[in-house]
Amino acid sequence: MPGVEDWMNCPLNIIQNLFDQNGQNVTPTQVKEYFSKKLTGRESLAWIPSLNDIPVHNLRPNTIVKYRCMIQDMFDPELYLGVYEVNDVQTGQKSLKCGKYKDIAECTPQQIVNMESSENKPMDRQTFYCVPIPGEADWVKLAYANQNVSDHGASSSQSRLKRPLEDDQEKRGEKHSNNQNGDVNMEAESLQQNNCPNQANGSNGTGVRSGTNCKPDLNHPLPGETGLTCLVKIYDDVDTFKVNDVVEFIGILSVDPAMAQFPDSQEGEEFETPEERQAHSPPPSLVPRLHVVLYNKLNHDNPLLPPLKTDSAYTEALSSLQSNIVNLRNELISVLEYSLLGDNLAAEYLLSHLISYVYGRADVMPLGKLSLNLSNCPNSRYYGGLMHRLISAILTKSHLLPMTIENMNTMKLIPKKDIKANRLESGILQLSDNTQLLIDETLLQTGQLNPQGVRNVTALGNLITWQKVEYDFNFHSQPFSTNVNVLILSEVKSLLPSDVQVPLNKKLTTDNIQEHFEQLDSRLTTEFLNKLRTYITLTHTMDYSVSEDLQKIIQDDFVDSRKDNPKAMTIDDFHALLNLLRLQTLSHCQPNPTPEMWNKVKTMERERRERLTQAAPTS
Amino acid sequence: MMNNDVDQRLKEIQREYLDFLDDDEDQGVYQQKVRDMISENQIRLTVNINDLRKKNPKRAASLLNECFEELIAFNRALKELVASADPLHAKQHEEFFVGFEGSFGAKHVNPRTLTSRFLGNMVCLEGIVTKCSLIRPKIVRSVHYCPATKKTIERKYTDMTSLEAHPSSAVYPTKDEDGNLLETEFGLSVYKDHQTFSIQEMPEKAPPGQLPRSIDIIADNDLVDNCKPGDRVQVIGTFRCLPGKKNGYTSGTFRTILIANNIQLLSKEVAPLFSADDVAKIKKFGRQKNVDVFEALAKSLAPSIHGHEYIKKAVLCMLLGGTEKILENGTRLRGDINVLLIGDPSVAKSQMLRYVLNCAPRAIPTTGRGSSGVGLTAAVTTDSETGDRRLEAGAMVLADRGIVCIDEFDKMSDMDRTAIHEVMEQGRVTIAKAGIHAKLNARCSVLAAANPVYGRYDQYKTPMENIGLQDSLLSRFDLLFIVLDKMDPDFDRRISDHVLRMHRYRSAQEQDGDALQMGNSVSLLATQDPDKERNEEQETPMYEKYDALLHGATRSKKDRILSMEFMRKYIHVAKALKPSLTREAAELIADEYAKLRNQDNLAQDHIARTQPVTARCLETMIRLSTAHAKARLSKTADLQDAQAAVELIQFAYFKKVLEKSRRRKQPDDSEEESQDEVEQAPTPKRKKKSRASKQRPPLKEGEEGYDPYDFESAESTASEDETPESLEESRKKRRKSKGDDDTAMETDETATSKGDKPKISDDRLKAFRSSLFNVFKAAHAQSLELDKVRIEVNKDRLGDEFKDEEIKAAVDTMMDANQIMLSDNVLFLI
Repeated sequence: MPGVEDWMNCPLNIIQNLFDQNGQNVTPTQVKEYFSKKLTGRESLAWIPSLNDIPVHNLRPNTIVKYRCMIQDMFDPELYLGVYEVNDVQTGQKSLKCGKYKDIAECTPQQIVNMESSENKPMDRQTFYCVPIPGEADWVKLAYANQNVSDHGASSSQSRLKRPLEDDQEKRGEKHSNNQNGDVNMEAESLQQNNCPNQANGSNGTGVRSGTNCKPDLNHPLPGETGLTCLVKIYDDVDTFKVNDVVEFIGILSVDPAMAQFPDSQEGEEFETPEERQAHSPPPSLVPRLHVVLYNKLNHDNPLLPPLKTDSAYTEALSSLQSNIVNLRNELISVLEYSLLGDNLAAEYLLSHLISYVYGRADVMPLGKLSLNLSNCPNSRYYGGLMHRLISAILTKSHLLPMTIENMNTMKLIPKKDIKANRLESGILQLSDNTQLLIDETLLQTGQLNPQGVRNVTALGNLITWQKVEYDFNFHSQPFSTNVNVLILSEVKSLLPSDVQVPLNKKLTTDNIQEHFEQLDSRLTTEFLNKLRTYITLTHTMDYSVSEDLQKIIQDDFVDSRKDNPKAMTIDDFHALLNLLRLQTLSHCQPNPTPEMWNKVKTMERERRERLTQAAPTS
Repeated sequence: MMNNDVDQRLKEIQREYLDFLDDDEDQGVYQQKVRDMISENQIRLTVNINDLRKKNPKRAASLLNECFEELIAFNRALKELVASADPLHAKQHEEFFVGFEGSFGAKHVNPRTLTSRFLGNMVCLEGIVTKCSLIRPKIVRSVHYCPATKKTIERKYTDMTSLEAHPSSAVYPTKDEDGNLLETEFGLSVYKDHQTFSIQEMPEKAPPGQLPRSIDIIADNDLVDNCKPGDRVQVIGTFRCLPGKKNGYTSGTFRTILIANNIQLLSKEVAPLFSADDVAKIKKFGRQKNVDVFEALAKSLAPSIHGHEYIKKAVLCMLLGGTEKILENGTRLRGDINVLLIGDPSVAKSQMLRYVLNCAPRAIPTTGRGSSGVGLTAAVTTDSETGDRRLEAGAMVLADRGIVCIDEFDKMSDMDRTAIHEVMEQGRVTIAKAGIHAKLNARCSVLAAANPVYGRYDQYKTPMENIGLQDSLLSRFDLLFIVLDKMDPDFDRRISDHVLRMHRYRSAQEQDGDALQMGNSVSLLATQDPDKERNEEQETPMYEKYDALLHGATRSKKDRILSMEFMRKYIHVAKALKPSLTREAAELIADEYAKLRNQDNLAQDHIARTQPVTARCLETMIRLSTAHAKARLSKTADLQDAQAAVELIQFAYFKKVLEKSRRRKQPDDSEEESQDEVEQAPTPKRKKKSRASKQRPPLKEGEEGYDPYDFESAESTASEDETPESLEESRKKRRKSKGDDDTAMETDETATSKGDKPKISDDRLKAFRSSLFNVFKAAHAQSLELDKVRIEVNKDRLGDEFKDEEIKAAVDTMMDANQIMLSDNVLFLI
């Protein structure tokens, strides 16, 4: 594709041309139009190198790149020179330049920028601090990377090299070892030291920033996560973005080393604390800048499906899924059943849980969520990890939170505004929509919670019940809606609230839980897994409605069951039942529930309650 | 030449400003202000931009748009005026400043809406102060002396933050042109105070899902230290950018700052903005004759929660609050109403709390598990670094004049619960710890939710056993509700309909995550006096939009739900009223209290009270009736308010206890049956009964006030299985205490019989009644034959015996009043 190279490699020239053509004025819409014309279809998008896969030093600055991320923080608006005047030193010739999509007002060595010119126009742009999607499964990353037709030989071979390693790690069930990601980090670090030795020396020499090392905290929501973070500059539609949105940005990469901050520079000292400066302008080699020309908001993070529901490939996938849903579902249930030690009922609940999400809110009540508490879990410290491994192979985003006293007391769950540095310090609960959170309570021992621990447990409880996280802004807290599925593994009823508690009824016994799970691996072929992944994502976008007739039946049922004993069905139970009905229907890929489904759901609930009452005396 | 022109223009502008300030021949407002400023030895004059706009619209417009030049001229004009008024004062100070207030219209912004469009403009910005720098001296003028040449050099400094267009060199001279060393005369140099702080968008104004933004402010001279972190402020100043020249390269970015010329603290109360239309609507709604305003309001509270009307009423009372009284000796009678909800899991207790949090102007949530006693009140902590002692305010102190919502109240340890005893009654936290003695105000209402002791409410145990909290704490709650899951097919059907609809409904526009718009419309466009010139903001709809899909077809037009915004405004207005108790109401309350106290001894196994009746109960009734009066926007708490209060109390204080079936007594007693008859075959539902008693027109109020027995009948209806023995017992006691009630009776009686038909005079009726009661008492019986009564009554009366028709009329009157009942010529005492 010869045409591609041009706009991909020198986008700034194109913008400058547009600027000249339109009489010293270029709107983001025009730029957007130009580039979206070039980028029709997924295929052309595949040509663009992705910041997620390729290390920054292998990319050329000022070229078009793409970046898949979550918006972690929104900085204050930035004022920049939208139009500036440059004067040629020798000829004195004046010309106007477009300052959009770049960090620095540049000019050729023979020119100087005239800051005092009346032609200069200041404009606003918005900066977002973006992090790679927290909890994104490895298969998602891999699949996205493989989609890219990348001709950056060095980088792709490097990334190939890393994959097998990663897979090995996955096999061992060790999810959060940092080795592999550490590489990237070390590269970045060494790079940074090469690029700006001044900085390293400066900070060591003067010791201005005692206590803060040279490398700023990159503010990943999940501990142990690394990966390239990025300062994304937005020029239009700023208000459509929300914090924690998952977006694919396409824009111009800017890594000019001149933007690195020097600790001994005193300018601006008055208004910026050193912490703030460090947070807002980290060295570009570590945190590159991306000037956005186009963006796609991602409704789901599944590389196996096109991002838009209207895409023809999407409907194809849906119809092919519907044709063999029965087999697929049975297979999945049997896998889950095996992992839950042969408990079919729990497997059904787990499936419903996995496809649940908040689809709306009535007043303050979130609708559609089904948080699940699997109690009576095997008392093995590997079980949580193994379950998480299985779930992360099916879902796009997940995180395992081992709930120990120590973790609760020390971990940062709630995002908090750091006023000194003027940024939002991330916490584990800052997750994008449809992320699966697996809380392993089997590890919880008795002990003393400190105030932080109490706050954390409360925050988890609020997340589960109201699907809200109260971000801490020091002087006040502000609730942010979330959409996070919470699965709790515990030995007895969990400390945390949940919509449904299912005590496991272990039918299979195994001495070695790890071996037990290894036997699953042969069944989980990539092909099968891909089907499951597509299936789960598709259920999220399906329509659902209840027919009038069935509504009548449901109502009568409710009234009847309460006639004899109001405790038989409380309003909460009713909510849960309706929810379960919805999820079960969707799990069969059907848009409307049937009376049979209603009966099945009722039977499920009845069975579950029987178990609960049986479990109660023993516990 | 150019320079001259500019100077000429500046002079012209300066003259216009001087004209504005020198308003002696007009009203002399600013003359007076300048004089005040001089006498108070200040250097800043606050000018209302509206005044300037009236007098010189051109200047006002350019002041807002090209503020640097104009401000210089204005400041100079002020200095000129001061110099003419008081030359001495003018000499003392280098500069004088003008601050602004008034309506800024489109220039009234918050950190989100402050864009590059406003560069160089004067804007009014609102937000929360997040961080403040130290106050540093900034040199304005340095004086240097050169020992070699014996000359002094003066140098002035300006930087980008001052109004002058060109910053001077920041270099501090150490040598003169010839290289001679200079000495700085520190005593002669002039410095000014300088501070920077950041303000952040107010949380209620940030759009949902977006992080709040912030901006840096520069405050000089007298403006420093005017605010501290956490304050809500309004800053008027000039918006400008500083070039971002860093490390020798020209970055294309700038730093933006606001140079303040006036800082005003906003009160923490967020008062909704009222339009004339709103006020009219509120008045109209409050004065409605055909609708019970209180009921209508209560119904609109938390419409997503079905039923629980009494609880909603109580919550409404809580939101409105009673009247607080501070006695001369400093004792405070609280006006805050505390409510405790106890009940089974999943009866929407938490949801009710959540609603109050969203609806009340200031409400703070905590959970029993998540907070310790000190966390609720206040704690003395030691700073880990400096070792300083600090006082940290807890939730209840933070919620001063607001509401604290405590969920899972039962999960709190007893120790911690004790800590809030003082707060709940006194509205104050006393700290005497670690060398700190302090009293903090914590005048808040408490809304608590708890589960019963056994997790679920045990019908066979008394409420007290179920609640399992100390009496001392319980008595501090004005109302305690036991919320149970009830059986009622109709009700169930409505609930299921409601729930189903919720699960089916999804509005097209509302994506998940779009938070509820609550309280976002509170936005003032002027620094003060919003009533004068306010852009007509959106009309507050009185009722929620009716949505057939969401609300179902069950709702008739009559019981429409009031919109949340209207509710807030209404409550805000109503809350400010201070109704006083009328005499009738006071009497009713006194009566009722006496009765409640009596029933205290009437503890049996069928009906039991939920909380102890103490003197606090009397205050509770007063508070509730004033709250009810507030709901009607009435200045007096009348009888109907007292009745409503009593009704609430009756509902909240008593709870039927089921008897285990095996212990159930057989109704062998024939007397019991006759008793039932006398009690007019009690209706099974107390709700109906109470409604009936309410519907009685106020004309008969005297009656209700008159006879304490009347209410007892209402109670006994509720307690249908009450044993006759106990009734008898209580009655005996009542009779003993009758003496107390007599006075009350007498006053009421005149009112009673005024319009009545019977042909018996009031005096005679009274006489008859007392003799009749004596007769009953003497006979120790519940029923007597009429003939016998006639004889007995007239026994001691010689000459003025009651005639037959008199007796008949008297009996009729008393029957109307539900005191006695005549059947087959036998009189029954009710």
